Order: sequence, then structure tokens, then C-alpha cells
Amino acid sequence: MENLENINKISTYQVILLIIIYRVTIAFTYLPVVNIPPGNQDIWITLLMSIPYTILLCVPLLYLGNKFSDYTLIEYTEKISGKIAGKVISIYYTGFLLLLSIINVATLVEILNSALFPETPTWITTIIMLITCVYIAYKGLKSIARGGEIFVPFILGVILLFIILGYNNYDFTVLLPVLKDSTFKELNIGAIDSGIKFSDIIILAMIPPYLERKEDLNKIYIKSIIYSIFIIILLVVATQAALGIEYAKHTNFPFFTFNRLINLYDFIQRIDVLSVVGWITGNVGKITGYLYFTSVAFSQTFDKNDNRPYIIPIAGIVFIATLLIKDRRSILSVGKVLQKTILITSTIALFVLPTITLVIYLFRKDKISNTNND
Amino acid sequence: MIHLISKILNNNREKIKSMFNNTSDLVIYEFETVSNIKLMVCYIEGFIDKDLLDKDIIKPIILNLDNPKDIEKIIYISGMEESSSLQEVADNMIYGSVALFIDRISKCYIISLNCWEKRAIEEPQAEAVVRGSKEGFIEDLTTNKVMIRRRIRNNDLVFEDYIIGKETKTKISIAYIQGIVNENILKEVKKRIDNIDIDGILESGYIEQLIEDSHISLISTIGNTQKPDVVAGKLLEGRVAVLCDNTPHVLTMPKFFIEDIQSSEDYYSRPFYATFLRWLRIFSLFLSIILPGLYVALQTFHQEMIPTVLLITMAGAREGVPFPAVIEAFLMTLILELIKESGIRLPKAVGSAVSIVGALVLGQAAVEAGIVSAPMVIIVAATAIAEFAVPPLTESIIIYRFVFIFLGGFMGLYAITCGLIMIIIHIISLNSFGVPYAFPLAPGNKQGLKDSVVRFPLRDLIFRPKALEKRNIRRQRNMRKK
Amino acid sequence: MKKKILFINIIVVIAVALTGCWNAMELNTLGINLVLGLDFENGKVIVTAEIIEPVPAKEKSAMEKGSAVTYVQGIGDNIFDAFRNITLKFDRKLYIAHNKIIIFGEGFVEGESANDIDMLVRDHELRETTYFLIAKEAKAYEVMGIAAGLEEIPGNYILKLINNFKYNPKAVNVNLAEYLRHFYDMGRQPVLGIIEKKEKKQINKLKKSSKDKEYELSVIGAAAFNKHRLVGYLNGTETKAFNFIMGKVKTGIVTFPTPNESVDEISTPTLVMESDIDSQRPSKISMSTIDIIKLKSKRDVEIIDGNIVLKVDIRLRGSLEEFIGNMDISSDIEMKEIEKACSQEIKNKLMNTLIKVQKEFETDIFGFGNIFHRKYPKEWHEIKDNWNEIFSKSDLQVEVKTNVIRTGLINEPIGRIKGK
Repeated sequence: MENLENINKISTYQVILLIIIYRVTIAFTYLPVVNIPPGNQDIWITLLMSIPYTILLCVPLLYLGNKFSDYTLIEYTEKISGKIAGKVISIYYTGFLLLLSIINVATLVEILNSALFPETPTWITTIIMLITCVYIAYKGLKSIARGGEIFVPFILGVILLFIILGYNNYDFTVLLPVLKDSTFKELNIGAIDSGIKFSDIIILAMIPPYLERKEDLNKIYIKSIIYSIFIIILLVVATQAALGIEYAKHTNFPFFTFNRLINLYDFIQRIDVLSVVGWITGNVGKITGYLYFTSVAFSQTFDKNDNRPYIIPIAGIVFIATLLIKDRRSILSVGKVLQKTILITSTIALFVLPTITLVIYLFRKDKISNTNND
Repeated sequence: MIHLISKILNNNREKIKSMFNNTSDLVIYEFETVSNIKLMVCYIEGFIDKDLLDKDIIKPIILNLDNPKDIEKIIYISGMEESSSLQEVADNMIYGSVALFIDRISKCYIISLNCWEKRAIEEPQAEAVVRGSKEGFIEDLTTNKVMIRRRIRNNDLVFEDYIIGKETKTKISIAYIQGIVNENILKEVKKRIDNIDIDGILESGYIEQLIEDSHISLISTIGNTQKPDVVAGKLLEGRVAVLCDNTPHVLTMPKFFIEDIQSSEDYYSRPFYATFLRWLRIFSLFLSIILPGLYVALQTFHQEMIPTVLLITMAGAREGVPFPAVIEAFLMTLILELIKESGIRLPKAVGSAVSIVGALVLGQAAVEAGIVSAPMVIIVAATAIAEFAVPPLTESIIIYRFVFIFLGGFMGLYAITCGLIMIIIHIISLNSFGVPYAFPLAPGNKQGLKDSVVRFPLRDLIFRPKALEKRNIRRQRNMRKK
Repeated sequence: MKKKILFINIIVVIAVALTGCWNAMELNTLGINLVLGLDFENGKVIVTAEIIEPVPAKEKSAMEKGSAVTYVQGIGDNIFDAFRNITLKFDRKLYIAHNKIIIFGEGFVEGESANDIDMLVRDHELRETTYFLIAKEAKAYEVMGIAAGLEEIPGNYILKLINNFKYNPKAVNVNLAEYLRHFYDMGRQPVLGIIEKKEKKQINKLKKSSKDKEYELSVIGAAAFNKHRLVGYLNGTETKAFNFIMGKVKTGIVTFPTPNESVDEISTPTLVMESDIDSQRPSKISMSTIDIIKLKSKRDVEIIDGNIVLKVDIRLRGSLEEFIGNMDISSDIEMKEIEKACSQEIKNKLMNTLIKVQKEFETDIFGFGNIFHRKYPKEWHEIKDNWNEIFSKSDLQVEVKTNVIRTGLINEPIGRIKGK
């Protein structure tokens, strides 16, 4: 049937929404950017500056994605770097995706346990989350993308609603003076830091074969970076203006704390529940995406056809890992290790490995294009 | 084995009798013409117009028939055919035909005289409207076809008849408009209907369940209606309708989720009010599914979300109530369904008594006795009212409602959110005959959204739903462009 | 396969459900708390909680006034310990998510209060919109339990008092979030509201109450902090001046001595400076009142010849509400005199308050530091650590401009015959 032909093909709009929400979810939940250098009122400038850095850092990945638009990241690295090296890189990427899934689950579970259910054991919250995510992942990429069309506007609407409703809490003078308290070096370090942590771009590297219009890859990339940065800037500015620079840094969930302040005419108040619903929705989407692509990466690394049978085992690994991490230490308030891990692994995944692959590709160009023709 | 018609009348009579197993409603009448030709008519009692048979068939035959070959010139009837197979004769007789045997001729004339008692055309109670046609389908297939054709007087409107049900031999009819319908969808519908292999079809619900995409889903991916104008509207959008004999419920497919929150009246009234009504229906759909669960969740997990004054009142109302909020909600919702179910089944006079008893005893007395809290009664009542705003979805709403009460009592809003996400993902992953079920919402479509949760003015609804039809997509010329 | 997964899911969910609900708290196991009192005595924290007694709506009308709440007290090493010690004395779990007000006994804020309230911010139950009040020269539990208004619940009574701030700017309404915001701020120090118990003047009532004395609460005034140290109290007039400077006044009145016909004689305003509720006017001076319609306040800092000058510029638009005196207010010149008198009155009050805060408290509750930061970011980094010291030595400059844009329903004062 003609309608069934493009099964598992997803549209440009859907991908942009997915990438945006994957990135915004983190900011929406625990807003780590208020702590990046320079850590004062100039963070929004840092974020703006991170756009070109992000684009630059991901050039190799993007270039390869355009060249091999019929293959996922895993498939073309194997094609380019040969069997053994390719396998190693693929395994690294699978592990990276798995790590991000674990971090996401652990973060959400921590938030839920500290903001909503302090007495509930970790494994309950984790298992509910994972059941939901496995269910969605089983429905396939098309359902994830279509779900994005429903949920992403909802989440962005929630964010916007809170930003609007909080209007009488703002004191924008805290954002002044602009660029006087921070050095050029700090700004750049912050920009690179937030640029390199945009690990969700790895999803975009996995997605090209499923795209309806493959030539839109660059457009998707640029648009999702710019839109997501603007939404994050909105979040940061609103939170800082409402809480003050220093208090925002002290809280674990600054945007949530800001939401709790909203009180209009004693009638619109205590609506932070909506924010929590938004978090959960966003995180379910994000975790689902990572679970799904981990399973895809896994099945492709080991040359299996179907990725579905691996979703549940991977969810199992995530579950166990989450329990192991979570029952030891809080990863948000004691967050240095987390930030460092993300920074190092994503630098390797997003920049170092693609650069190496690109160099190999440029050297072996003729050979690879020959095998392509076969 | 084919029973051939013999030349001897007595043989034929015996064969027919044995074929129908000597059933008591089989009528066999033998008579002789003036010119001594022996004839026999067989029919099933109550299935035919006896008056016509006597006046227009038997009378002219007795008076005028001299040569058996001339029979076609004597009978004043339009629907007559010859057959030499007894099986065929029997098949026709069960649809209300008269079989006419003539002695010494190994042929049988099948005369269609079907006429039986029908219900009058009435307004369907479940789909009552203020504005618009009050006609509803009845149990007779032919009448139903006429009702649709009266609305689409077009030679491209096609009915294709099928007989399914190995024992019941039920006649069903596929309706579509050639040139508008999507051939692929039509082919798929026909294929699925051909695949049906069941002993009996008693209602179109049988067909619905046998040809739908996802048979374990709580949500039906095939629409049904009792109103011919609704069917005509769906046919014009490029859908296929399946009419089934002996039921006033006509199926339309493929179906979108938003069809359940649309009503035929939306298109007859002003667009703003229609849009408002659609929002109201969405809201009440949401409310009727989630309200008791949400109430339980707020009351047992998220007391901080309730405004203080309300919380104090609620806490006062809950003082001395013996059950936890979850059990309370379960009980009350269950009792509500009980009242509803018994109200439908009971005779009207008793039904009102039941509802009074239900309302008084369960509302007033239970609260006063301190068995349930007053807010819970209010919540359940609000839920019940909200439910009636979206009648097509009632079945799934009730099941989901119980699920959400459970989820709300188990892990509060977290579980409710996860449950909602799962349901929405389930809905948008459904397909109806290859068409995405949640069509104009996910995957989104700009033209489709104009007639979804909002209804644009009629002159802006230029195109048919894109998911259904790709070729003949334009409904009207764009009046804004000159 | 699909069915199997569904089945497993269902089993898991049911298993999970049957093992129990951890965070579920039925409403009738909670003690809903509206006001918390925190005191510090003999090295122990005393928590006093005002808890609502849930009563079905029907029985409410039959109840006696004031019996809607009950009080519990807990003593512990820190706040949380005190909280948990309550559970063994009180049959319901203390639920502070609906807490509206926290009253600190004066003894509590004399220590390092900011560290002591850590629990209040760390725990997710307490909301950041909770108002903070200081019990002036009293223990927190001494001021609790008084409902002198129409509200049955004392907590709501205090809450309404705080919210009436908008009609009379002689108080401040500072909640937890705002307090923390200023606490962390280098260029501005926190201010908190205060609460006082006052004896009512004897009123002849038909029904004599058996209680010996009637009390009422008052939230007039404010407490100034230097970081977490309470440095002193502002009285009502000073608080009003503080709100003037901060531009927080939306409505309110200014009462000023009516200028006499001769312009020179308006220079005796110091006598009526303290127009607080308690302070009595010693001698009869004609006073007039302007109702504030719109008030704009601008704070500024300037470095002139190495000296830091703190500037306050106030623009006031008001309507003449009460005029006692003998002036022709239809004349533009005399109207200007009135406006000038009003400006002068405001200016004096502001100056007095500024000087008091500068010299007595030595803490920048006005946020001049922030303005300095914005205007001179480089210099700020050198002086920010001892800004309060610099603030207390800075020069002051206050400018007030009043415009009377309405005169009510009559024009000339009532005692004056027009045209004479």
C-alpha cells in the first residue's frame, strides 16, 4: 500500500522536534547551565556563543552523515575504518548511547525521588519509567516521532506558560551589567563546554537512513541547535531573573523552584505539578529515544537484522546500572563526576572519533566509493 | 451436488420439502389453470407480498395460461429469472422470492416478491441532533441504501453486495464513490471482507471486529453511525462504508481518532460554536478518563497541589471516612456504572426509579452516613456527565478510567503521566486500513488540522483529508482566490 | 511475543502495586500546618506548629470561634529533629507543604539563622512562597494563636495582615525566595517583616469576654539584616520610607502639615515625623493627606570627586484626599506650595530613614550596591567585600516631586468660603 511504503520514515519536522526536546529536557529539569563558567548573569551570552562552537565541533560528524546518508553512524564507521577498527568504534558508540540512557534514567529517578516520592524505593520509580519507555520503543521509530509531534509542543507550551505566568517575579536588573563580570576566557570555556555537551547530536548521526528527505540533514542540524539554544536561554533568563544568580546556582532544580514561586491573584498557584508532568514526558521521550538507538546500534554492531529483541535486555542493563549508581550517591548535587564523564565521553564520541573516521575516509576515499558501487 | 429440477412436479415438491427439512413456514401451493396445466408455487411464509402473488401472478396464470412457454407474457412482474438448480431456488427463497414450478418443464421461475415487516424510519436515539436530518438507518438493507443514495444522487456511488456468514448468509454491502475513494483502501477493505470465514453475522459489530487492524486495542479503528447524512459525509471524504443487513449501524472506514470528537452538527452550525464544542468534547474526554484518578493522586500523593482552602474543606470531608481514597473512588465509579447499566436495561418506568434510588441513596445517604466523602460524589458525578459528551468513546473511557484510578492510587501523578503517555503512544501508533489513526495531529497535516480540534469556516475546508485521498483531493474551489 | 511482554508488564505492575504504596498519605493522616514558629532556647530548637482541625463543613457553623486550630510543640537539636519529635506527641504527621508563614522568635535570628533554615529550603515540602516574620522582642510561640480579625484560623489572619501591605506600606512582605535572593546578593541585604502582639484598648462590649485581656497582632515595621544577623528594626514610618525608596508603594497615603499662607512658615515638620499609630501628635498642627495614585522611585549612585553619593529620586502623583487649612487650592501657586510641602515631608522621612539605616544598622538594605555594580562594574570588584562600610559613609541626596492631579469631589476646603 502506498501509505505503508514509507514506514519508519520520519519527516524533517519530527526530527527537529525530537532533537530540540532531547536537548531542552535537561535544561528543563535541572538546568545545569547556570553553573557553567562564567556562572553569572552572562550565561545567556555564553549560550549564544556556543552555537558556532557546536556547529564547528560537529562538522566531521555532519560531513560523514551527508556522505553516507543511507547508513547510520555505526554502519558507515565500519565501512570506512574496516572490520576490526570499525567494530571497536561501534562498540564505543553503543556504550556511549547506553551510558547516556543510564545517565538520563538516573537523573530522572533522582529528581522524582527528591521532589515527589522521597520514600519510594529507587527500583519502583525506575521500573515504571522503563516499562513506559520499552513500550514506546517497541512501537518503533515512527511512533516515537509521531509522539514527538504531540508531546513536544505540549512540553514547550508548558515551559512558555510558566515563563509567562511568572511575569511578576522577574527582576531583570540581575542580568546587568552585561559582560562586565566575566572574562573572555571564561565565556569561551563555557561556550565550548555547553557546545560539546550537546550529545544528542549523536541521535542525528543515527537517524539519516530513516529520514524522509535526506537532503535536509544540515537544515535539521542548524535549526535544532538554534531553536534549542533559544529555548534554553529563555529558561535561564527567566530562572535567573526570578531567583537571582546565586540562589539559582544553589538549587538543584532551578526552573522547578522558580515554578513554585508563581502565584497570580492567589488563584493560579501551586501549578508546579504541570512542570513535573512536563519533565516526566520529556524524559520519557528522551530515554525512549536513547534506548531505541542503543538497541539499533547494538544490532548493527553485531550485524543483526531486528533491533527489537535487544530493547528489553538493554533496559535491563540500564535498570541494574541505575540502581547501582543511585543507591550509592546523588548524581545531581554531587554532580562534578557526572559533568566530567559527560564531557569526556561526548568529546570522544562527537569530535575525536568522527575526526579520525573522516581522516581515514579522506585517505581511502576511492576504495570506499568503489565498494559502495558494488 | 446440484439438485436439478425435474420435470415431474411431485418430485420437485418432495425435493424442496426435504431441502428445507419440512420446516413449518414453508408454503407449497399447487393449482391448475383453466387449461389444466399444473403449477406449484413455493415460498416462505411472511417473506413475500401475498396480495401481489394472488392478484398479479396466480390469477393471470389461472385465467390465461395456455402454453407454459408463454408464462413470461402473462405475469406482470419485473423481477423474474429462470433457474434450473434447486439450490439456487432455495437460496432465493430465503431472500423472499417465490419459486414457480410448472409441470413438465424442468425449469423454475424465481419471482422476487420480497416484502416483510419493517420498522419505520426514526430518529436514532443515540445520535440525536438539533439541526440536521432526523432520519436514521433501519434494519432493512435496501431502505438504507436508498437513504444514502438520496443524499448522493450520483452514478459514481457504488454499492457492492457480498454474502457472508456460512450459516446466516447475511447480505452486506460496500459503499463508496468511484473517483473519490482511494483504490488501495477499497482493495484492502474488500480483501479483508473476503477473508471473513464465520458461521454467522448478526450485527455489523461482527464485521467490525473481524476486519479491524488491531483487535486487542481498546479503541475501535472503525467508525459506526446510524445516520445516513453522516455516512454520506464520510463517503464524500473518500471513505468506504459497509452496510450490513438487519442492523441500523453502518460502518465507515478508515477512521481517524478525531472523528470521535466531531459531530455531523458541527458542519451545519457556525464554525466558532463548533470549535468551542470540539474543545469541550476534548476536555470532557480528558476529564472523564482521568478525573477520578487525578483526584485520588492529588489526595493521597500531592496534597501540596491543592489550594489550601480547598484542602481544608476536603480534609474535613474525609474525616471519619473508613476507606482509603483509592477504594472509595473504585467503589463509587463501580456503582455509577451499575446505575448506568441497570438504567439502560430496565423498563422505562422502573429505570427512573433506579436512578432516583441511586442518586438519593448513594449520593445523599452515603455521604451522611460517612461512608464516602462528599467531594468524591461530586467528582464521580462530574465524570459521568463528562462521559456523555463523547458517546462514541464511552466503552474505552470506562476501562481507562479504572486503570487511571489504580495508577493514581499507586504512584500518583507519575504513574498517571506514564499511563497517559502510553495511551497516547498507543493511539498514534494505530493504523486504520493503512492510514495513521491520529492523522491530522500526528503525523501533523496543516490542511487536516483545519478540521480537527478546530473547525475552520466551510469555505476554508478546501481539501479532503490528505491521508485518505491523494489524487482527487479538492472539494471546492478556493473562494478567497479570484 | 507482544502478548508476552504485555503479560510480563501486567504482572510486574500488579506485583509492585501489591507490595504497597510508599508515599501515599491519606488526608486523614495529615496534620495540615499553616504557621510555624521557630525559637531557640538553651541550645535547643523549639518548633511550634499551628495545625488545622479538619471538621466536616456541616459541623463548622456550630463551632466556637478559634477552635479551628490546635498547637503542637517539639524540641530538638535542629529544626528537623524538632519536627520528628512532634510525631511522638501528636497523632498526625505534620504536613508543611501548605505552610504560609514562618515566625522566628527573636532569639532564633540572633544566631546564624541562614544556616539554621537550611532544612526549610532543602526539604521539598515547604514552599518558597512562605512568608518570613520576626517576632519583635518576643518568642514565636508567644505571638501565635491570636485571631483578632474575622478569620477563624489565626494563620489566615496573619496572612491577610501581610497581604494588606498593599493598602498601607508600613510593612514588608518578604517570602523565603526573596529573602534568599537578597541574602546571596552582594549588593543588597535582606529585610524581613515583623510581628508584634499588642494589647487592645478596652472596648465596651455587650458581651463581656471572660478572658482577662484582649490581644491583637500588628505587622507594622520591618527587621533589617546584615547577611544573617539581625541588626535592628525599622518602625512603621521608616518602613514606609523604605518602601518609598524601593518603589514598592502602589497605593497609600502621605500625610503632611498644611503650609500656611506665608511660605516661610512651613519649616516645622520634624514634630510630626513620627506619625505612627502610637505616636501622639503633641500639638495641633493642620495636617492634610494626599493619596498616592502613582509613585515612581529611582535609585542611583554616583562617584563625585571620589565620594560615593547615593541618590533617590521620587516622582509622586496623587489626589488630595483631606485638606485642613486655609488655602486657595484653585490657585496654581498655592497648589504648588501644597505639593512642595508634601515633597518636603516625604523627603524628610526618607532622609531620616536613610540616615538611620546608614549610621545605626550599617547595612545596605536598599540595594545601592547593585546599582553601583551595574554602573561601575570595575570599581565594584575592588570594594564589594566591604560595601556595607562604604555604604554607611556615603553621601545622600534625595529629591521628591509631587503632582496633585485630583482634588476629590470638592475644590476649596470645606471650611473656606469661595471667593474670599
